[in-house]
Amino acid sequence: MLLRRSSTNIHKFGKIIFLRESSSLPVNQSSSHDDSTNKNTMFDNKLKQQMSERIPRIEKIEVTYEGRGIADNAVMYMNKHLSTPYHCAMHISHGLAQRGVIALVKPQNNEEQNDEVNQDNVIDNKEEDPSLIYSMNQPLDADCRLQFLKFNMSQATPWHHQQVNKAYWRSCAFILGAITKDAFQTSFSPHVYKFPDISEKSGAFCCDIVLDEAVKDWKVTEESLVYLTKLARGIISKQLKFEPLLVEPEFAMEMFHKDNYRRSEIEKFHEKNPLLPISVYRLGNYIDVTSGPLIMNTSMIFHYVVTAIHKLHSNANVNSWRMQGLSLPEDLKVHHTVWSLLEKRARKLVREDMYDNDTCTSSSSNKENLLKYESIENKTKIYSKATGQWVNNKWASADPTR
Amino acid sequence: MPRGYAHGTSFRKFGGPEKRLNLLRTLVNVLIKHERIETTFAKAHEAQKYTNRLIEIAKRGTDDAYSRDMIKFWAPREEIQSKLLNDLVPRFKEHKSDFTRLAVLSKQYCAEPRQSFHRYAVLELKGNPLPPLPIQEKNPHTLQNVLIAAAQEEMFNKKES
Repeated sequence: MLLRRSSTNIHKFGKIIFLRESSSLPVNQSSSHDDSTNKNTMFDNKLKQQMSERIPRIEKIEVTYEGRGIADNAVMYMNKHLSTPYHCAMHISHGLAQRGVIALVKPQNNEEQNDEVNQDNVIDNKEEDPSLIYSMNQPLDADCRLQFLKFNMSQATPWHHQQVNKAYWRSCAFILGAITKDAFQTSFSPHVYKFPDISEKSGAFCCDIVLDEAVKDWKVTEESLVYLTKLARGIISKQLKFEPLLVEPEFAMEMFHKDNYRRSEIEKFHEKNPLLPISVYRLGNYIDVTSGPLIMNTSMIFHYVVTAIHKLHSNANVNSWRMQGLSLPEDLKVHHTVWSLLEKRARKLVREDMYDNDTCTSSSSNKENLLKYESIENKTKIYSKATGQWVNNKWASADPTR
Repeated sequence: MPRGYAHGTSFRKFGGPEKRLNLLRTLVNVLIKHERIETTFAKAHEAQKYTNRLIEIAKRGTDDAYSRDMIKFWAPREEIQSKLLNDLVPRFKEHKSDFTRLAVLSKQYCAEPRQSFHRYAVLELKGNPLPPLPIQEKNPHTLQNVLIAAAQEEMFNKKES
């Protein structure tokens, strides 16, 4: 039903030619997905190579869990370069393993100097104890003290909460990047330009994409936003892992040899801190560089909508658009009235990283204020016939490309 | 529970207007004296509003005839009056409202065995010297609260400009 409904919408509003219809999928697939398959094979090979180099035989490391409760200060003997914070959390409790967002790792004194080569991010929390933020799927390198950060923490500093929120915002933007290839027709050569670093206070996470010159005057309609939201929900409902891989800058340059912007950013990062490796993440087939750790799994996400696509005029050479979205995790559900307020706010263009001189689609902004939007989430929800409640796990059937 | 309705807000009758006023007056006086009291939830909930209002009036000063009368009626004893004017008014100088805190007690914390259908509660003045109640404060740093606060701030700025 949904598939048919979406296609009729496309005929009715003839302007949405950009969204790929289901019939055109298999024809153009081979050329566009060459690049991604290439990256995927490189990713797999690198992972295998790293495993064989680092683990000639399995060694044990001592991991101390710092937490509140019965298992406080429990000591675990885990496998070096193999077991992740997620595996440690599984030993402690099922709930912790499901809810842990990121891990705070404090390396023990003996091997502190050796560690710094293989770190994701060095962040000086306080001057006395430097602690590193690890993704839940990233293998541990040495003896350490572990702490898990969740969305809801009763006794935590604002700094901890900021790190969790940033990681969540980053990974939601990552999903926006993952749907761009599927969302648009291949003839418009869509690709992700960058993930701007935007704080959660601006109300929406962003992903800048570049389209072909032919679609300069695209008028974004409500139907296309609903379509994009359904695509994103399709990915989320598959409960995919965010797989991390730490690589050298040379390898990353080779991986993104077509992408000039990303190459320049990798170079900049390498110049700033030459000791650190570059973190590459994979979600399904999509691979990209990120500025920090992501969350563990897409199953944590509860609300997710794509709220707006705005045209950017900042760089006149390329036809760039900004996709915006809003999301909240399972632990932090909100009432539908609050959600509608937040969603309305997320429709506005985020100008956090722009200068005031930039004028972006200001012609329609007055009209937007007058319009009363219906919530996109309501349009994409599926209710269970048995219970009358929102079915969160069966979103895969809503994927219109199937 | 029998309830009165005035201007769309409901209140407990507590056995008639006279009894109600006497009861509330004693509750307010006791609260100002001891800074923390334990009663049924209904009484505490009513007394909270009157205490807030009394402190609000006392903050205006005693130059006004109305405030003088009100303080005289609600705090007839001199020691309570002096505590109200000399202690509480400077304490809440920078606060706008909500000078009290109300916490519902679960059954296990009640001192005596009581009838099961009464909810008991603790009413206290903020900034009191007693050891703090084990109440979970709202966390302003979680993601949804950050988003909501930012949206509120934006709306507020829009109205001002």
